[in-house]
Amino acid sequence: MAAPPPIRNAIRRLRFDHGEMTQQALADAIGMTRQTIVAIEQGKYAPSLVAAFKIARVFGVGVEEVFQWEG
Amino acid sequence: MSFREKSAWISFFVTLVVWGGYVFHVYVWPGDGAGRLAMPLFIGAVIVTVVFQVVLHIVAAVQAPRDAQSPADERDQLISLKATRWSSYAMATGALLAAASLHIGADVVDMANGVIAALALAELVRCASVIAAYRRGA
Repeated sequence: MAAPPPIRNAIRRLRFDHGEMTQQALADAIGMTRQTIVAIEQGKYAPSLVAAFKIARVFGVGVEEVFQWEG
Repeated sequence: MSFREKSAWISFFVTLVVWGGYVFHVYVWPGDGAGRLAMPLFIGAVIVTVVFQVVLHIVAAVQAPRDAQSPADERDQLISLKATRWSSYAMATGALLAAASLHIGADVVDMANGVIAALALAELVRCASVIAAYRRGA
C-alpha cells in the first residue's frame, strides 16, 4: 500500500468557516466527486495542482493556506 | 459506496461466475461431453456477460442516478489507469503462459481457452485493483 502523501490540509476548517459547506457542495464547485473530497480531506489523496487551485479559489484563499507540505 | 466501486464489484462477480463457470464446464465437468471446443457455450457466456453487466449496471445507476451520471474526476481516472496497468501484467502473463502451453503438450484449443482465461483473469485483477483503491481511499 502506498504511503499517504506528506501534505496537510485545512479543508475541514475552511468548509466550517464557509457556513458548514458540505463535501458535496465543494465537490460540485470544483467538478469532483464527494468521495474524492473525502479522500483529500483525510490526507489519503494528493490532488493535482489544478484541483488544489480550484479548491483554494472556492474558499477565496491562497493555495498555501489550504495545503501545507509536511515532508 | 460510489457507483464506480459498485461497477467494479458487478464486473468482478459477473466475470468470476460466468467465466469461472465456463472454464469449470469445459475442463472440470464437461457434462454432455461437448468438449473443449464448446462454441455455443462460449457464445452463451459472452451473451450472459453482456446481459448481466447491462442489467446490474442499470440497477446500480437507478439507485444512485446522480453518482452514475457524474463524469470521472482525476482520482477516478488515476485509479482506473493504475488498475489497467495491473490488469495488463496479468493479461501479458496469462497470454505468455497460454502460448507456452503449446510446448508442453497442449493443443491450439487449450491455448485459445488459456487466452480466454487470461482475459478473465485480467478483468478480475482490474476490478480487484479498483475496489482496493476505493476501499483504502487512495
